[in-house]
Amino acid sequence: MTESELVEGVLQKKEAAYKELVLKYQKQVINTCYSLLGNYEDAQDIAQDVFIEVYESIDKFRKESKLSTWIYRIAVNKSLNYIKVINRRKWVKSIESFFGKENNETQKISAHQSDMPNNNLISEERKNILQNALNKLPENQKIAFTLNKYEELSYQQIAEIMQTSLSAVESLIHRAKTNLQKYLINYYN
Amino acid sequence: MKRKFKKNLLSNNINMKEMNCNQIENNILFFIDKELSQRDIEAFNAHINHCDHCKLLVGNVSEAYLSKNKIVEFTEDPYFFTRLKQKLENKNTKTPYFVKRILQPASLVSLLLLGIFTGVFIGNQYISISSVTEESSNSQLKKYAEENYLSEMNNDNFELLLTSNQ
Ligand SMILES: [Zn+2]
Repeated sequence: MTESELVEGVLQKKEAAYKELVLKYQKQVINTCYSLLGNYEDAQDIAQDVFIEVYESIDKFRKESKLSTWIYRIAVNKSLNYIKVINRRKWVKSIESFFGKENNETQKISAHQSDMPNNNLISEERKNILQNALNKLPENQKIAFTLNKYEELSYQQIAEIMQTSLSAVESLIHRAKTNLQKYLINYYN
Repeated sequence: MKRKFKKNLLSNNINMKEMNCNQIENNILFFIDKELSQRDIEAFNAHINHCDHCKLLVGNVSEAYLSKNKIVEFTEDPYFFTRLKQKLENKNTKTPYFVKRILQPASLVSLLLLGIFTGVFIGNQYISISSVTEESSNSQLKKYAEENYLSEMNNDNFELLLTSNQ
């Protein structure tokens, strides 16, 4: 099926078309969510929400942009919303722990980590260091950098997804790298 | 196509043969991403070769920076679509927000009111029914009493008759 046939099929709620669309973009969506969230299970869940939105609001897709760009945009928005929810939850948790409630989650995580072989532990630790640094970036820098570095999207594609100019994307990625560099050096120095 | 951002590059500094520690720190990620000019790469390497501090730092930072790879670790999930379909179906059979938040409480309240009114109504009915039955039982009693009285009177008459006969 061509892209417009896919869109037409999903518009008519045809399962075959929807299934083909999901299979075609599944990897891209999960990866984008993973790059932004840093957790595979969360990425899977959010990716499902992305495809539900695609199914329900395909009539809002304007054909002047590519279908993949539109889907990327949904994936980025869903991931960012999820990060906001997580941050809110963390904030509540930090308040709870401030008032003496136990934090079972950290205990679970450390127990889980001690089960891992040593090599995995080191690479897990490195990933955590990077993810923490990525999480410190301003939202726009994080999106632009992630899409470029991990999705290997061109500046042009990123500009379309973020609905901004090419030079804005260049500047965002440059600032993201400078900041990341600063965070990582601070960590190791 | 990737475009290289020139601002960070140190190519303008023609006389530079070797970067200092500070310049190394400012260029690590650009060095790793191969975004430095040939001249800058040489100046970078020239410093790294003799500064152990920067060598270690570049090693650590690049290991962390490159720790997150694209796709590689993901194997395709064969059940992704099945789960997605299930989720969509569940979502469609779920009670919509309006029903859940407005209609359901409203129907609960109206049920409660209906219950109260039915209770009150049944209560009233009971009172009137019981008063009716009371009345009717009174009249029955009266009738019974009258009958008995009459029969008693009759008995009296009968007795009278008997005595008179004596
Ligand atoms: Zn040095």
